[in-house]
Amino acid sequence: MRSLRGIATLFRDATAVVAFVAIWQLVTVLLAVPVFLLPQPVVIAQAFATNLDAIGLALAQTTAEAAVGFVGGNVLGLVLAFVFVRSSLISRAGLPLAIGLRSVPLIALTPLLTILFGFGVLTIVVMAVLISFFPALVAGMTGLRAPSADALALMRVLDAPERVVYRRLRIPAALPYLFAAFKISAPASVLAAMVAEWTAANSGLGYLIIDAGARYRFPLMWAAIVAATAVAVVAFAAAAAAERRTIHWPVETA
Amino acid sequence: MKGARGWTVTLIVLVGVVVLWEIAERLVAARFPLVPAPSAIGGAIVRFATPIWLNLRLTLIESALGLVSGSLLGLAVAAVFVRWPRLERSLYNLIVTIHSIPLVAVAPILLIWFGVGITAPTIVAGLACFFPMAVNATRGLRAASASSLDLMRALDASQIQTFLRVRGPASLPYVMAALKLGAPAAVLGATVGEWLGTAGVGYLLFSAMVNFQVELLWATMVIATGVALAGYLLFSVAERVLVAWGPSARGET
Amino acid sequence: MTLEVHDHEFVAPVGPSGCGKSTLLRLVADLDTATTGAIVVGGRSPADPRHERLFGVVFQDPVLLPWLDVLANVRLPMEVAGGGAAAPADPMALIELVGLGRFAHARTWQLSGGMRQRAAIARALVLRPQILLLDEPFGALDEITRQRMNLELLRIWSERRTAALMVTHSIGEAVFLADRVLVMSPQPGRIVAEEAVPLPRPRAIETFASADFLECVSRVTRRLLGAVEGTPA
Repeated sequence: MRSLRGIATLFRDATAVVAFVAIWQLVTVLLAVPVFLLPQPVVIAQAFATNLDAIGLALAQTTAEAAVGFVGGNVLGLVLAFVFVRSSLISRAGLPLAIGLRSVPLIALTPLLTILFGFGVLTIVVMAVLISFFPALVAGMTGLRAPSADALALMRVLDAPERVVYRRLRIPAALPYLFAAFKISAPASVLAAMVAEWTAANSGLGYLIIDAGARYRFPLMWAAIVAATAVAVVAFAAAAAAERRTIHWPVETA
Repeated sequence: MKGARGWTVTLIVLVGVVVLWEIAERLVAARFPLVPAPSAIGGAIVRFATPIWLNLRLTLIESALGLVSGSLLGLAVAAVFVRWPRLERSLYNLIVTIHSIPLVAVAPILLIWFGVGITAPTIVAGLACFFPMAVNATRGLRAASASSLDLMRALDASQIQTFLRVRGPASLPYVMAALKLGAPAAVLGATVGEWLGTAGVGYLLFSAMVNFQVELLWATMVIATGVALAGYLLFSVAERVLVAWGPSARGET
Repeated sequence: MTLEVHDHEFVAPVGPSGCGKSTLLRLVADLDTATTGAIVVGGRSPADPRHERLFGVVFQDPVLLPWLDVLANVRLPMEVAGGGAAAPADPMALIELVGLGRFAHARTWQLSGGMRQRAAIARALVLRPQILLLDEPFGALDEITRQRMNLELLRIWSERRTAALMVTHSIGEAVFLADRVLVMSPQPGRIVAEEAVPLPRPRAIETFASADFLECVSRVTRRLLGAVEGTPA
């Protein structure tokens, strides 16, 4: 029943994508849109095929950087969230600070990071770590403190050790918050890696887009953009799928 | 009241960090050429005040235009979605996909389309705040409680009256939340849009990096962060003024 | 103030909101600590029986964990206690006892309010507590479900025969369930009167109509109104 509806949704989405591409193709051909403005999908596909190696390599590199940054940022953010939650003093000072820092335009930090960490992979990974770190920290802190006073009282009556309170109550309660953060930070870490590649690398998808544009190889640029968008969408979809598999209970989202 | 105390603690922590940072710099004098002392950054802000202000002005204009246009577009989409829910089901995934197109990928295209100037950064800024507004406003326009809508029906209120009295006010907290997210996002979008351009804070950051003007880079960074935070705070204050009923309204469900 | 609950006895403090009856229960369960004075439970501090897991608690909110099914929720205290649980009851038998036999593997959020509270009662009983502490357990239920749950609670309690301390603001509920009703006054919160309930057990729906029941309710009501005299409602 549910898989049937899933297939129906997939079918509808696929139809929408095909229709979108078809209209794009039609418009570009009929209006003779110059290639530098908007290449035909067919031309982009050709560029994709001829540059498969280059795009594949760039894709692999960007994905790897983003993945390392995503994992690193989340581990760091969650460990810190644990520390913060266990000390009410730190958490009172820490949460507003974390929320404030979250609204810092991190992407705009890239030039600064490039100076600090140099030209290379380190800067790119640091960028991706930073972008995943704050959502994880905020989600961890709110999530671990999400259980109601009554639920905590129940654990107290049962004389549950701290470890059990975390395993049975706080961590499961934090999971919905975590997945909400993953859905933001998974595509964002791809974005962050690409931005950092502008300034700190001469490889990867971000660099490929800029470089192809600078050399007036517009079909290649568009092919790289499509690839980048696909990675970001897949990252989001993977986080959403993991959420659906893990959170099998209804969640009141704040 | 509690929030204010939290912010006081945060402020104290921030000041503490800056002071420690300054002391550390003084102690190991010039061991970290890449991380200037706060006083040196402050000096750079004063020294470069004119170029920073000239570029900042441009970025502010782009951010404001982007915020207004992106938010209006988001509101329009939300209104359409609420009026025709079927459209939302078909178009929602498309909008999510558009949102997932990395800003970095969009910027070069816009630069090609519109050339160097104010347009490309404005559009990037607009895109950055479109999505939160579309999602939040859709939720907000549906937030009016069934009983308050029933009340309007019982009073035989017109659609416009219902909107003005119930749906509009009920959506305000959501719209303000989107603006709080959108204001810093717009500054960020404009900045990224300017990287490949010839003016604006983004350009200034980029050229400072390329020319290795470390102090100018830090100074511009601090100002850009301050502006983004100011945007957030501005709408936080506006929210508190406009949505005075917020917490109590939420409490009575 | 002194509060005595004998083995197998059902005691119900009643009083208006704010008289501290919930606080009383929370102090006994070692959930709150007293600012002044000392709490003594069975000659010891409340922390000791809590460590021995002699309390079973039911709150107004059933606090079932939504990521576990009914059986796992009922088993939760056993898992928390680990090997420390002396002789836990059979969780499945308890689920049968509270009338949820067919729902052992149901998702908690698919249950009705009354069913959730049944699961919470089963969970409270699983470690064979010496005393059951109930804090307005049926306060959030509609009147009819509430009456049914009261009958159910009596049935379950008479089978398990623990001592029970149940806080409520419903006089009828207190009289129907309890052996003794404690009348509490607000500001300062204290026990101003104690009414023994002479109704025979087992009690059933007919009890509500008996003259003794009505007479007892009106006696408690008078005491309660006397206690709050002079304070605005």
